[in-house]
Amino acid sequence: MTLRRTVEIPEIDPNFIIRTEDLTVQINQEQALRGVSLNIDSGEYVVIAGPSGHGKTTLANYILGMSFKNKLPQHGKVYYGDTNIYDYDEHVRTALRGRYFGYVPQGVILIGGLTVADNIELPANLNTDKMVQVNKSMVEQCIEILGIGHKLKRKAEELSGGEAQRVAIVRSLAHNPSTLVLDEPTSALDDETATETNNMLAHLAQEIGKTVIIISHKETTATRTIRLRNGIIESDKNLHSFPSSITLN
Amino acid sequence: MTNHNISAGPGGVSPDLEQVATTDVLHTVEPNEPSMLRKIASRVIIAATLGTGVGTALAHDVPARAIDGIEHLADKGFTPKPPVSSTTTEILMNANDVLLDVGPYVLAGEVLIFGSLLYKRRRNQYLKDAFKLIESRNSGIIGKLSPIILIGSVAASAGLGSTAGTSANQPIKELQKAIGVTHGSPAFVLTQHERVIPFNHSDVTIGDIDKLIKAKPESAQIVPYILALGDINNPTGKANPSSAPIVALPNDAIKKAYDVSLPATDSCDSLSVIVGEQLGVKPGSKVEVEGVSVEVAKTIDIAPGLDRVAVFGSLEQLQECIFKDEQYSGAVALGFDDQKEATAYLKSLDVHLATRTFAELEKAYESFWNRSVKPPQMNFVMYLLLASSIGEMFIGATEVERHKKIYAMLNSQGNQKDTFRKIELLRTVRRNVLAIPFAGALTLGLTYATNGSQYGFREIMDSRLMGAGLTAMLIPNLVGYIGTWRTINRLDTPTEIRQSI
Repeated sequence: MTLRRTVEIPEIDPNFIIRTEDLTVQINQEQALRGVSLNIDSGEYVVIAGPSGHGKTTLANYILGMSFKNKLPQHGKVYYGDTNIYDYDEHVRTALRGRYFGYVPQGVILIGGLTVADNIELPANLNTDKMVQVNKSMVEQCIEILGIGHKLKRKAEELSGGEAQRVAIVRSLAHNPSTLVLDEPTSALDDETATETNNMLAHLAQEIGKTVIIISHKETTATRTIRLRNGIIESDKNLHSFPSSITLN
Repeated sequence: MTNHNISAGPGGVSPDLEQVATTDVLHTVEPNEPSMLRKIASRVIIAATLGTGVGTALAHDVPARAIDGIEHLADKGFTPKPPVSSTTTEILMNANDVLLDVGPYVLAGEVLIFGSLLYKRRRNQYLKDAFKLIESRNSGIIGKLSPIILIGSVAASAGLGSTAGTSANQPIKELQKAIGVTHGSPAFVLTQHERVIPFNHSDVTIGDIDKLIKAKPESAQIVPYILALGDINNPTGKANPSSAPIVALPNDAIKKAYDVSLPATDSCDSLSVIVGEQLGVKPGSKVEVEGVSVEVAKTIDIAPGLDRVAVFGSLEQLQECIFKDEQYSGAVALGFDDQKEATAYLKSLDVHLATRTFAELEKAYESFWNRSVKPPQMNFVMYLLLASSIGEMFIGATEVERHKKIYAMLNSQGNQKDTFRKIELLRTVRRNVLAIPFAGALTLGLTYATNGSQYGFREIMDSRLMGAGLTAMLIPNLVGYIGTWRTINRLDTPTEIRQSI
């Protein structure tokens, strides 16, 4: 008898389309999402916008397979390609999240006492899924772009808020995921760094082909903007090309 | 920031990254949120209430007056099976033996597991990072002290209990040696009743023993003795245990065993005795036995476990000057083929004595001391375990609360809850193993502190004691870990992360 859990993790093409079908979520007696249906293609650079408290973060969490208070969606499905992730238990959904997603939550949590370098690599190194490995060249590129190379040996608690946010972005990319979900990634950054970060994210989508989903309460340039209000998609606009402000040199 | 191939956007100038933004998005979590403290406090109150209830119920019938009981029983002259321990205590005493028996394996197991993890850590990135994560989390002073106090105290306590039982036989063994009883040879102790333990001023009548001696059985020999507890005082002030077993044997037996002649004397001012060298006196010096000044004729190594030296003297001298008209504690019958023959002989002479083998006597002594000393010792261990279990619950709750946000972050990055459970387990094992050297020092300190007191004992540090401490530690570890396990199972990642904003 083995105590080790042997759960089959479904094989999914990393360039999968994310699809929600009639996703309905109730949190604390309130309808956070009301029948949200959308498709996000591989390589899209999408902003999910809307006022605070209207379901953006909840939508991101349920797309990532995380559920508030461990409650499944009241109704609806979330597909990665053809796989409805809520057909699987939490263990599998966590494994899929680790394999295919990089996530930057709104509240940046770094581990005090560890260096910046350790903070960046630790989640991937602790992952027992052999498909999740630190991609050194990706890490080095992101560190260079976000300008935190000189901070790598510093302890996490020595960083400013903006630096911590950039470390969290690098950390989400450390295992070179196919999809990035960033919740208010530039909220703690000044305008110039925010633009710099947005440019990097656009680069990741346009040049490297990653799917980038940004949650933001304010207007942010992207190729597609989905506006949520009261848990319902209010509008879904495609720009069809990358905006000039993030055109590569 | 270095140049890269993405435009900097409007404005185009790289910002001064050192001066950026606020710090409130960076969380290195501390348990300072009121709701968390309330949660911890409520758990501790529940644990303390439950623990105190169970502990009091268990400890209720453990007699705290067991030590007094020894003196009381000793004064009575003979000791039936001492009624000083309850069923609960007996169970706990057996648990103490289990701790000592299982301890070395637990010690070896924990050290081996930890050692192999350290070895693997050098080449295994997962373990490297797990250790990094654990080492980055300071467990606080209570977390560090808890295993040291429990392991050290239980080890000292288990050692005292064990030593009390096993070393109690030292005077009996020495008595056999002095009389020339070899292992396995047919020798029997004659007592008033087969259930009594001759201990102090035994009730075996001189008349019966004298009748036996005078009967001069052909092939048998009867050697009377007195075995009593008495005060011994070293006037030089070094090592003064307040009571010691005093063994009085016929002078010819003393001469044969120790090559010292202690003939009967007209004056009680010129007594000589043999004492344990642990008293720290030399031959020729004077000590007081039951207030009577006696000369040390020789020193021998006896009772190394018990911190009481034994005194051996001439029956002729001590009966006259110290025990006065006291009766014999018993007699040793040598030369009978078997117990049946010895018993038949006693019956034929119409003396009312029972025969016991030395093995039976040793067992009875050991049992007496176990039951006399272990109850308060186990009482102490039990409360210590209780306190530690509550402490571990508190520490477990505090630690896992502190780690919750980190685990939520890691979970959001795709790390499994299984990983967090393993990390918490690793943290527990690491904490125990790192506590061993300090716990060892505490054990030595506690042993030293109790050594020299009336019922203090000298014990030797060995792996059994540390193992006993570690084995006991498994109980609060388990209690603490169950709480940790539940918290991880219930980890609500989105909510934890939302609370970090």
